Amino acid sequence: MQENFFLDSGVWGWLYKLLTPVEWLMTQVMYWFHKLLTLIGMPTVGLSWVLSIIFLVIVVQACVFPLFYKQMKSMRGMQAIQPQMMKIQNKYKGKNDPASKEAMQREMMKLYQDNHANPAGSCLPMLIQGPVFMCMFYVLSAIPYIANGKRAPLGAFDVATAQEFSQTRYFGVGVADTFNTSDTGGKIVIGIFVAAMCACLWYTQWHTMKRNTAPAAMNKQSERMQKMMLWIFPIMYIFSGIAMPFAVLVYWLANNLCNLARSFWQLHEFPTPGSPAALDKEKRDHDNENRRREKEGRPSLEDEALIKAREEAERRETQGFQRAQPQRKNRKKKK
Amino acid sequence: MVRAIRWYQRTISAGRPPVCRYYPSCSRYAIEAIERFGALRGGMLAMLRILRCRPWSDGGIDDVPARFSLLYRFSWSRAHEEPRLTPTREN
Repeated sequence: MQENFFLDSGVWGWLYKLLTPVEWLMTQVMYWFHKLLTLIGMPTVGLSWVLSIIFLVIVVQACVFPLFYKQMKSMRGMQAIQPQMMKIQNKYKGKNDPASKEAMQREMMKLYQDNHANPAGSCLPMLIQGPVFMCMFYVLSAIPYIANGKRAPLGAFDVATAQEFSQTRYFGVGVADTFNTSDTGGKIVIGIFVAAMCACLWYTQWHTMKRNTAPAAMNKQSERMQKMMLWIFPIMYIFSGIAMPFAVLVYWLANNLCNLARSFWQLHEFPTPGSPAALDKEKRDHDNENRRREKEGRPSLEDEALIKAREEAERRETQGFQRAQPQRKNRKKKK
Repeated sequence: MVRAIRWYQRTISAGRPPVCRYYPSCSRYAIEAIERFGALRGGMLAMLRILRCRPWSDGGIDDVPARFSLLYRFSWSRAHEEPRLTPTREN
């Protein structure tokens, strides 16, 4: 182990100093959840610390979720302004010069702004995730140094707690071990974790791409780009995964699993219009409506359409194609 | 710096659905701001723009102001401009 904590020096040290409040909050969350777990009878060293890492993931995800949900909701608001959007699109139909393209986009944006509906999510949540993850990495890598007294205590982790934490071994790997410092068994476990993490990320991307993109909206270039992204990120994860301590890998895997679950939920509830997932949802909603009608003893959607068509045909038989003028109901009374 | 942003536009951004709530997008805004006001002042405008691009903001049209001011978004600012439906210059 190196003499001093390497992340505290240079430009990075300055950056991590700035992020101290977040780090402090993270240590507190982990510490208190750990305390709760020991209170209900779990051992102080071992699984309880791993669980508190996972709990931290859940807390972070829960903080992000309202933003995510709001964005999904605003997607729904898009359908309300669909007619106006069509109007703008028709106005610029067949015009491909840059000036009218730009004018069209400006008009669209104005429409979104005035109706408080915007299809785009904005990149800030993604940008925030970076520092949060860095803090996590920093805290978890700092703990061994706190434990041996080389670094000042951080937040809730004083020397005793840090020692407790770094003694934690799970699946035969110490939480502070990286791929290079662990033994063969540990290397295998870490390898499995990295593989699971990459597979998880890959599957999330692949599933979203497959199910949640409208075929009409895709062109050749963006399709190729997406396919590339599908592979680049998991491969990048392999290299960084090997350098990270086991505790960070636990955090990362749990985080990716949460993302996967969230993407499933999104595809189920708020699919992109026109995508295969949206078609499935339409069919599902239709079936649910029919089931509900059946329970109430009303005719199903198809039957209702049939009955309406029959009535219409019958009316044509008896009255011809002439539409009867509507009559006021209380007309005779008034006289 | 401009080249770094261009690189971002070509490689990272190209494969994703359009994600920005504003028009022009944050990266185009950054390029224009840096070209017009230089790396420091343009960079500050771009930073503020990215911070403004949040899921709960309304988005919309937000051009680089004609005169440099960090507060041009406020209506009392002398550099304030109404959103334009027509582009100011050809790109």
